[in-house]
Amino acid sequence: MRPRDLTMIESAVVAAPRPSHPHRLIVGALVLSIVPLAGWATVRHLDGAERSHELAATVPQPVRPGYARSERCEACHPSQYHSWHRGYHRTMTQYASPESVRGDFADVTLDGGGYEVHLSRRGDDFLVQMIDPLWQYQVDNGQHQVAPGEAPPRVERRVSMVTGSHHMQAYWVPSNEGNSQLSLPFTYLFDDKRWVPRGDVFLHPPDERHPEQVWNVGCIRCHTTAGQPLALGGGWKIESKVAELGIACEACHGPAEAHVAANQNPLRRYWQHLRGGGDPTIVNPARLSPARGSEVCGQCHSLTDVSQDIELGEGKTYVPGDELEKTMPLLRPLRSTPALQRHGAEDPLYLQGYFWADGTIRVSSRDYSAMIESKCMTGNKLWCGSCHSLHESDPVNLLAGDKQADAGCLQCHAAIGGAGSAHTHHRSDSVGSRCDNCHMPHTVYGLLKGIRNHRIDSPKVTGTSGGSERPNACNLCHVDRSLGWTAQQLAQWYRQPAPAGLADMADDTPAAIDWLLSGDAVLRAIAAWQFGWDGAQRAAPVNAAVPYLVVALNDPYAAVRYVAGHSLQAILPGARFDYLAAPEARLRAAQDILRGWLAQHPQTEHDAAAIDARIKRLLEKRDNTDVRAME
Amino acid sequence: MAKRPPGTKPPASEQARSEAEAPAPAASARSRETEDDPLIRRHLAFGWWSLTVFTALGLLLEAGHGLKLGWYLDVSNATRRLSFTLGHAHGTLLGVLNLAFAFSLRHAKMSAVAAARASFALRAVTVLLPLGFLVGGVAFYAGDPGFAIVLVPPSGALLVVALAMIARGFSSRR
Repeated sequence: MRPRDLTMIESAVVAAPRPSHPHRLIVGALVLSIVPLAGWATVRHLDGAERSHELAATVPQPVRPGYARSERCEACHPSQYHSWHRGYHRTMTQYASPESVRGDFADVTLDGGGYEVHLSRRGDDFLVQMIDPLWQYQVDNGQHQVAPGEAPPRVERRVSMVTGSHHMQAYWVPSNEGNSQLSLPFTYLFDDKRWVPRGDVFLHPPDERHPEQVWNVGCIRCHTTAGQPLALGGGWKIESKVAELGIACEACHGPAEAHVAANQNPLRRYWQHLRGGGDPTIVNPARLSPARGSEVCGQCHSLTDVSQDIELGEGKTYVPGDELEKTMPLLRPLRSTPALQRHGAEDPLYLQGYFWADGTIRVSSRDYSAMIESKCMTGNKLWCGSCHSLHESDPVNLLAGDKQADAGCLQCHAAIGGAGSAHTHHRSDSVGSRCDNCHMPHTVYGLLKGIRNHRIDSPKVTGTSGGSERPNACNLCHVDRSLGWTAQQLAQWYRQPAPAGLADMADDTPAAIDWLLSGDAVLRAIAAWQFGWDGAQRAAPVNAAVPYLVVALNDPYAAVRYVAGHSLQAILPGARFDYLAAPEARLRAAQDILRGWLAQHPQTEHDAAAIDARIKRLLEKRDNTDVRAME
Repeated sequence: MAKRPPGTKPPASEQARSEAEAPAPAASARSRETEDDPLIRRHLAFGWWSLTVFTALGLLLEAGHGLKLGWYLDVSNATRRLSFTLGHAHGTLLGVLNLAFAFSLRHAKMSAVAAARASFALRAVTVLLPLGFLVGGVAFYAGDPGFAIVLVPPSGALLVVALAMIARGFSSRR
């Protein structure tokens, strides 16, 4: 290219029109992009503010004076805060949010238990279209008579709070009267990844419709920190208050505002460090006496007589360190009290649901009620913290890191630990040599499973079986053995006299099968769970129980069917069964499972008649007493 | 000793000697113009060594992250982690501050006594402030560092005093 051409090109470039003020273009572009963004942000902010205002008006708020709330504890107690934060006490009740809600809200329609709801999600809100829960509650409780032709009013509600984060999650919606919360009539099961009618996760009479529940007058007592129902004003203008949702630091350590204020002084803090010992401005359950320390857990993990003021008014006045019995007397069948007699007279099913015939608690989350009936308590050494730790443990069972396996028991019973098999009469590496399997078997029902009973005692065969008789530890592991066999072993090993009432020592019916089919609903659920338990599966040929578990698949109690189905799946991994299907479908599924099992075990055909006869006999003597075991 | 041309300032070493001998330090306030000044050399050495030590400590802390050392990283050791991080950060920055002091000292119009005091304060702070954090992080009480943390507040105050003295040296019109 010649120099002249270059000059021409340069001239052309110079002559080309250029934007005279390029910075104006940039500013214009910025304005054009910022204005809509600012508008969007403003609308979002206003929406958020409106939403926050609405939530504050319809959901209980953390407003109790004297309480500092857990986030203020973190600065000085980071380790304790984080160990609490990862646990399940914190999440016992939470505000509904994308972080807390675990159920499926992707445009789901649920129909069951007499309820129909539609679940959906809009942004961070979880919505329910349902019959007005307040109308439903009032109808259920006779406060509203449905007029002829009156259609149940349907409403859309925003889910306000959630309960649970471990096995299942329950949901609450505002009644829009004060800040009372009513239950979503469906619960989400995590393991099964499915919604089920709320009533079908509890043991309650099968023909009884699970009623709407009011969170403010029951759950608030133990699923929050320092909850106050404040529902005595009459009507539905409930204005409950809490120190914090969930079970937070101050539930166990007491109100901490004074403690926080006092310890803002660094000199005081370092004086405390130097001096050692406890800080008088706060309660440390580990520094209380064993009895007082256990009561801190017992304020919720027990069955107590609750006054009207606690139930509906100012809430619990108990604070950690107090004597629990002064404000919340325990209901202990082994010590008849006026409160116990009153409850028994008002509703016989109430106590029967909660206790075995021998007075031992049998419903979950009442471990303190069980523990205080233990012989171990007489030494005034045992307390909850002997084995458990809220802060140095696995959140699942809260067993302290150094109290795993037998270590908890061996703190006091080292000599027995030294005796080994001479004491247990089992191989030292077997499940029969673990202290808890014999002394704390799974004789508590809750959360659709068996749970260890905290009444620590030794296995014993009583003269009767079935009904609400507490099952013994031996037959919960040796699920193929009879009561007579166990009585003989206990007599031989521990010189335990055979019970006089055990009429037929020669009856070879496995006790666990007997309990599974003839017990009351709690006993049936616990027996059904046992066949799927790893310990029993290692100790006994659980496969032989399949025909009996198949019968339990059609138990009238949904929860028993659920547990039996899961145990069957543990034995026969391919077994498919929906415990909520229609009776005919359940029957077909049960027959299919049995057919498949018989094909694999043709020799059982020879025993079919005997098995049938046994099933018939056990079903005939079934304890059909209504059971309501509310966890 | 070589003769100085009229109107020029004496070398810093000579100046320091004369200041040490002089009874009236205020009268001897003058700028330092040579790097042979022992105060400057002292702070250069102190600053670079501080940087070496606290950078090496930073390397150890990074290793703590890399090796996921629970003793350093666990939530229960959050106070230790914070204390060590603060010790490392303060030590490094104070090392840089010593270098800045050395490099800028020649422009300051400080009396020898004021310079010596600022120098002492700065070096003391460079040792004590990180030490308070580091030792306080070894043994601690939940959210509170150990008792060595008592070194930190007076060290912080001393640092403020030293900085004010240095700033005053640069503000002086004398």
